[in-house]
Amino acid sequence: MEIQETPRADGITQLALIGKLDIVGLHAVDIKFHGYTAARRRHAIVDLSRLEFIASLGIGMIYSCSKSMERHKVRMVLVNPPATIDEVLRLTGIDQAMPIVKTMKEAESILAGETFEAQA
Amino acid sequence: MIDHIELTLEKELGAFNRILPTLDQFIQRHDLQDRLAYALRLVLEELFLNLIKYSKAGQRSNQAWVSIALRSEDTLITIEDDGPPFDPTMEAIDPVKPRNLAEARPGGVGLALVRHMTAGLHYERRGERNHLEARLMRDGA
Repeated sequence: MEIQETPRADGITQLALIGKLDIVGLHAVDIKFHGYTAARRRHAIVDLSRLEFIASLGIGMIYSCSKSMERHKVRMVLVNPPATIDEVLRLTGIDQAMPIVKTMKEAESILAGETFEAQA
Repeated sequence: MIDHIELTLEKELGAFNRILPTLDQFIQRHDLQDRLAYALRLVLEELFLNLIKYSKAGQRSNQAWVSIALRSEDTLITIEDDGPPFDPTMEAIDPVKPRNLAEARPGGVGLALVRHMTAGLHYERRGERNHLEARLMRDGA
């Protein structure tokens, strides 16, 4: 399990979660993910397209960091989860608490204060 | 039965590392569909976490016995431990979905995910052991 950061000029943190976010994977990235998101206090886009597995512990990590970010008036947006991961995330209702979108452009629109519907 | 694996594990977070290589080999050996492989991994992880969560000091042992049986129609995960009686099927209700981040609570969704990913979840107390069976269909549905 690893986290890749793609540097951006607009101040948004862009990350990709890669691999299996299971008990072992969580142990490998938990502190690092917190550092990139909650501790940094900037908007974050998290690309899930190469995430192979997530369960309750990984969802808890995302919730926890996202809640911490909200307290500092910044947001996290999740992008392009594979089908089964999307299904698992939505089952927990996380999509009602934070945005899950298909494309990077949609994520950028949300963080720019525009709604996806307004762009469509 | 097509294949069967059994493991004895300490009820500790670190012990889960021992399941994963065996599980990966099992998945590869039978070329299991992606969704079934995902469901197997998720159900094992959530039920094992649950065992740890409800383990209590002073138990006779700190061990759990895990088996996975691949059958023609389904896959059966069986987990036993000799902890105090605890029926996780009573806990596996749908999670309350938060309307916003303020309402969101990390945790508390594991058993609901298990229920969603399984075709059946059965608990019984057998002698001094909790005996839990989770049945997954071959296509993971």
